[in-house]
Formats: sequence, C-alpha cells, structure tokens
Amino acid sequence: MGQTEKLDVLSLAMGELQAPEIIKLTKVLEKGGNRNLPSAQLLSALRPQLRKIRPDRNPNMLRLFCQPFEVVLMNLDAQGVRHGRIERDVIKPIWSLVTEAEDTAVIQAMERLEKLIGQADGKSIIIAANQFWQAIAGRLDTIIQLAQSDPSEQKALRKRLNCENAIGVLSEISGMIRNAALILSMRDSLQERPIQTLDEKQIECIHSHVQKAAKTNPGSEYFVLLAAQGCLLHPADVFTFLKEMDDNNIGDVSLIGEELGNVVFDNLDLAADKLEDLVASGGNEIQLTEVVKSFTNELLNVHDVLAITSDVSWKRRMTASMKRVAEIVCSEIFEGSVEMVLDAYAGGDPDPEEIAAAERRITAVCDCVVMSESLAIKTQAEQIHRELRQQLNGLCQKIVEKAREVDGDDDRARFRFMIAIKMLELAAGPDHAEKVLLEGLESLRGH
Amino acid sequence: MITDHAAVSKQILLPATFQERGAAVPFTTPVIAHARIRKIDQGEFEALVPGLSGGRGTYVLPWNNLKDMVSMSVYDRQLAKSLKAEGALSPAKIRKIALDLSKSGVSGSDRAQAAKETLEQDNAVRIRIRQVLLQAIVDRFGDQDDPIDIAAMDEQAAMVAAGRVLGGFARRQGFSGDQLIDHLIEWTRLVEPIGFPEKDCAGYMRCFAQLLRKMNRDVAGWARSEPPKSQRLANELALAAQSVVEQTEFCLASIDACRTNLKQTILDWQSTGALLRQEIERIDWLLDGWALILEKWSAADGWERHQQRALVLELNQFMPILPQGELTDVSHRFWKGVIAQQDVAEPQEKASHFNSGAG
Repeated sequence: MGQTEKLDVLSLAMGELQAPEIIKLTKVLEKGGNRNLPSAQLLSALRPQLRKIRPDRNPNMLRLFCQPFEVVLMNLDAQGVRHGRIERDVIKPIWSLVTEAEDTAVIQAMERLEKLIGQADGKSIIIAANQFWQAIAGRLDTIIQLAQSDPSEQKALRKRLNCENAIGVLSEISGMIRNAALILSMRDSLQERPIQTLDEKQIECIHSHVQKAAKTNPGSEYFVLLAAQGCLLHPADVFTFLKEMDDNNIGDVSLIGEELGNVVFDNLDLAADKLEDLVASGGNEIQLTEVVKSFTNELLNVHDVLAITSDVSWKRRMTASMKRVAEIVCSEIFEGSVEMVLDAYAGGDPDPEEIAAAERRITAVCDCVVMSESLAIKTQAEQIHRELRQQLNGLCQKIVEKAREVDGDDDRARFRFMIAIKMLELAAGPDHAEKVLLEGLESLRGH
Repeated sequence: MITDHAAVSKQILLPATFQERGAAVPFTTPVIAHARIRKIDQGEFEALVPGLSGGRGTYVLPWNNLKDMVSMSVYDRQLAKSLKAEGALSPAKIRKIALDLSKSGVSGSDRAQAAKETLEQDNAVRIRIRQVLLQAIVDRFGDQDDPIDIAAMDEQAAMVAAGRVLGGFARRQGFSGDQLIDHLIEWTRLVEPIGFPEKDCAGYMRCFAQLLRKMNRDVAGWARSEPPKSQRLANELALAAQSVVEQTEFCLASIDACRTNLKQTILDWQSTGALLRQEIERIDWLLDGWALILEKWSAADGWERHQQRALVLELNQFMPILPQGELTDVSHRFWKGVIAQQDVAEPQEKASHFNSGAG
C-alpha cells in the first residue's frame, strides 16, 4: 500500500473517531513529538472533524498573535482592497516580518509567554499575552512609519506581503491587537458567532465595550466595532451602535461609519463575486439561487438598517452589485428556461438527469421570481414565469392525449404524466397541479 | 383555517403509548414535515402538527381538515388520501405507502429514483435474509449427504430443497416439513426490516439505528465548542437519540438471539414468533420520526456554524417524544424536560427575507 493510500485509509478511520479521541490525537499531532507520524497530513485528514468539534487548539505564538483579529480573517480570492477584512495569506509574511526584526521587547514578551503557556496559569498568561500584543503592535507601528516615510520601503512591504494595501492591513492589525484585552473580553461575553440577531444583552455588551474604548483610548472605538462587526452575520447591524454613539457624542461617527459601511458594501460585492465564480465553475441552478438568496437577504438587511439613499457613493456601490447579480439571474436562470424544460421531454422516455435539471431550473426560476422585485427584474421574472406555466400546462395536456392515442393507461405514460405534474406544481402551485392531475388521471382511466 | 376541533395540546405531557404519539408522516410540505397521524374512534384519523407557523405546542385536528389548513404539495395530498384509506397504520406501513407513491413520480424525478432504489434494496435484503436463514437451518438440521447451496437457487427451488432435507428433522420434532417451512417464511418476513448483522443482510431499521448512533456521536462532538444555550440543546438532542438507539439495540439483541438459538426458536415458534413481532414493532415505533431529523442533520454537514446552530434549535423542537410506557424514572424526567422545552421554545433568530436551503 502506497503512502497516499495509507493516508486515505487513515482519513476514513478518522471519520469514525469520537470527539474526545479526536481532541487527544490533535494535541499529540500538534506537539509533533513522534517523528514517525506524518503529522501535517494527519491533521489535514482530521480537519473536517475539527471544524465540527472546534476543540481548543494548542496555543502557539502565531495563534495567539491572530487571536484579537481572527474574526476579521478571511480567505479572499477576489482582487482589490477589502475594507476591514484581513486576508489569511498575509498572516505568515507579517509574522516573519515581526519576528525576524529581533526586537527586544517582542523577544522578551514571547519568551515570557512561551514559559507560561507550558505552566497553564490562566491569569498570568493573560497578562503576558497582553504584553506580547502591545510589543508586537509597537513593532508593527515602527514598520508602518518606516513604510510611510520611505516609498521604496513601502514598495518592498507591498511586495513582501503580496498586498497592495499593506499599510492599511498592518494598521488594522496593530489597532486590533493594541485593544486585544477589550476585544477578547467582548467576544467572550458575546459567546456565539456569527450573531444572526443581536439581543439586548449583546447590544449592551458591545455598547459598554465601545464606551470603555472611548474612555481609555480615544480613537480605538473603531477597532472594537470592527471586531464586533466580525462577529455579526449581517455586517450592517453594527450601525445600531453608530446611532447610539452619535447621540452620545462618542468618537468620530462619520469616519467610523464610512469605514464600517465600506465593509458592508464589500460584503455585497463579495457575494456578487461568488456568484460570478460559481457561474464560471459551472455551478447548478440551486447553488446559484442559494447565493442569490443570501445576497438579496443581505441587500434587504442593508436597506432595513441604513438610510442609504443619503449617501450617493454607497447607493452607487449597492446598485452596481445588485446589477451584477440581476444580470446573472437573467442570463443563467431565466434565459432559455422554457426551452430547457420542454427539451427534457422531447423524444422518447425522458432522461432522468435532464428531468432533474429541468426541475431544478423551474425551482430556481420560481425562487428568483420571489426575489425579483428586490433585484429590479420583476417584469422579466413575471414574463418567464407566465410562459413556463403556460407551456407546462400544454405539456401535461399533450402527454395525456398522446397516452390515450398510443399507450392507454400504462405505467410509462403514467410516470411521464406524474413527472410533468410535479413540474407544473413547481411552476403553478399545488392547487392547479392537482386539478390537472385529477383531470388527467380521469382521462387516462376513461380511455 | 383552524377548525372547531383544532386545539393546542398544551395540557398533554408525555403520550401514554406510541399509538397515542401517532406515526410520523413523511410529508414534503415544510410546515407539516413533522406531522403525525393517529387513529381515533370510528376508524377516523387525526393529525398532530407540531410547531405550526413557528408557534408552540402541537395542533391536533381531524385528518380531513389538514388540507384546509396548509397548502400541501400534490404528493402530500395523495399521501394523505392513501393513509386515510388504510385500516391501521404503523410506521413501516406508512413508509411503504410513501415509497410506492414517490415511485410514481408525483414528488419529482429524484425522489422517484430514490424510492425505486430503496424498494429494490429492501427486496434484495429480503432475499438475502431468507437465504442466510435457510442455509443456517439446512446446514444444522438437514438430512443431506451433499451440502446444499441455497444462494445458488431461486427462491422456489430453495424452499423445495430445504423442505426435502429438513423433513426428517421436522418429523422428529413433531411437525410436518411444510409447517417448518411456513415458520421459516414467517420468520423471514418478520425480520425483513431488521435483517441480520452480517454485510448485505442488514434491514433498513438496523441500518437506520446505526446512522442514528453516528448522529448521536456527531451532535455530542459538535456541542462541545458551542455556547451554553445551544450546547444544552445539542446535548439534549444527542441524549434523546442515544436513548432511542440504546432501546433499539436492546431489542435488536433479543431479535438476533433467536437466530443464535435456532432450534429453540423453531420448536417454540408460537411464542418466539410473537416475541419477534413485538420487538420489531417496538423498534419500528422507537425509530419513528427520527428519519427527517437524521436527514436534516446529515444535510447540514458543510453548513456555516450559525446555520447548524439554528438547525439544532429546530430539531430539538421536533424530537419525537418517547411515551410513558417506554421510560424509566430517570428517562421520564429527561423526556418531560424535552417536551417542556418544546412547548416553550420560541424562534431564536430573526427570519431571513428569503429562506435558504441551509438553515
């Protein structure tokens, strides 16, 4: 058995492990004590279960470094600047940048922390971790200043991080780790993540942490709010706090609002990117519709939370992403749907795969009809929906007539009819479909 | 429209029997996906619909009124009609009726194909069970010089061959060869949904119990990193599944023991047959209602954490409650807690404008 096959077998076996065993094994593998074990491969085989169980991982310096800003970490494949989000790929280069400088404060903080991690003294670890974050923030600020004052340094930094917005990213990380204690305390109190709907307790928690930030370190409210936004399913919900901040004269609300608003609209753009990628990779109608639903939900949520009409640039951004999504719905879901459905029935016995694809398309069309008003494509949606219903009615009629002429009430004819009824139901609803079904069955029996 | 007969059954705590709990109906319309059917007097049925419109408790209404209350899919309307035409309903019978209906195509091509495959699989297992059982009995009690390979014969030929070689044994035990074969056929028919532990011999109920055991472990593992509230709900779900699986495994052990004690089972067929029937019926009811929960949990495998959290909340609300007759004092407290939780559970999250398939 080759190495790959052995690992496949191991991966399969790991699927059978229970949570405590997985946690134990992960700890052993992460410590890497046994050189005979292919730890990296085994850990990657364990990843699906780890995602489910989310055990506490062995703390290491890199993980601790990321802890204050992990909620804004993202896998960003798309190009361009993304506000308030940090691409995972830049973490390792940044970490090298911090550690290779041999900054005494950073080295001492790391050594102190490393010793304490082994001893598992919770309170001391928190104090040492805070010193560690402050030391790294200091180091990052030095790097930022250098890059800002010297264009060649800035260019080198961009190249090293492979990131056009290198200074912006470093500033965001620095700001968040400087406020690590506040951010982590807030996240501990919020507990679940992402938060789908903020309850009163959570609103109070975020609000009190923002107030603390404003008191202890004016100007840092943005970083606490950015972390809070990272905990929310709908980034626009963070504007709840801006209104309160404005009422209480806390922080520069318009500047913070602009930054956090950009995150909201980046998020809409990302959904549109995802949809375009899905089209390019041949995603089916159901997958496309799921993304459209998620986009439209977010869009309506933005409408609910923000008075966007007052901000022209936001309105423009929102309309642009909406237009991209609407175009895909029209070209990939509406266009050619009637022909596709009818083609599935052309010829002899219907092909199960073609029928399944036709059912998916009808479902997608109907789902998109419901969302069409939000996407400003109501007219096209209603037209295609009407045509589908008419054609499917005709199809059911034809199947019954053909069955009466040729086969009579045999199993094949009945199956064809039933499948067409299901499609009619998807397009026209169960009441109409049932009526056609009963008439059809009556007609077949009467033959 | 809610009829005069409809009432929220808040005063009812644990059902006394499985029959009172009603049998789960695999409706495809989401709002009645966890509905149950139970027989009332004069051969009439009633529907029990939990969590209607996201509300609390369970609506109880005449079966015929269900269609007035909910816009049901065409498949559901046909299924409701078919069930009404039956005299008595067990989960196994409902499953068969639903599969036959799905096969017709009225619930769509994917479901038709899946139903066809399930029915074929059931039949393959039935044949295999009969072969394994006959072979074991022939090998142990048959009067033959050359070994008989039951699997190599068709069903009819196998029965004839078995009857021939088992004739002597039957006579020695005081009954005819035909009687012995009749017992064996009845035994096979009874254990069809259960099967035997060997590969290719497991019936759908045994397979389902294994999947439920896996779900119990998965949910317990998932719960570990959850915040307290959803951790509690997930642990309740895991414990409920575990309780059902443990009772099922207990029944399975007594069913499998009949095969280990071949001679005793055959000689005492009247009582062992009754015992088998009782145990299999119990498993049927124990597992009833968990199929949809298992299906939803499996489908949530790649979902986002918050979607899984919302699902756990939903599943917790629809966990089938074990009846009083099945419970010990300890489990009685647990299930009472579950039903109390189901009665007060309220939607935790604000609804999305458009429902996603995930969550």
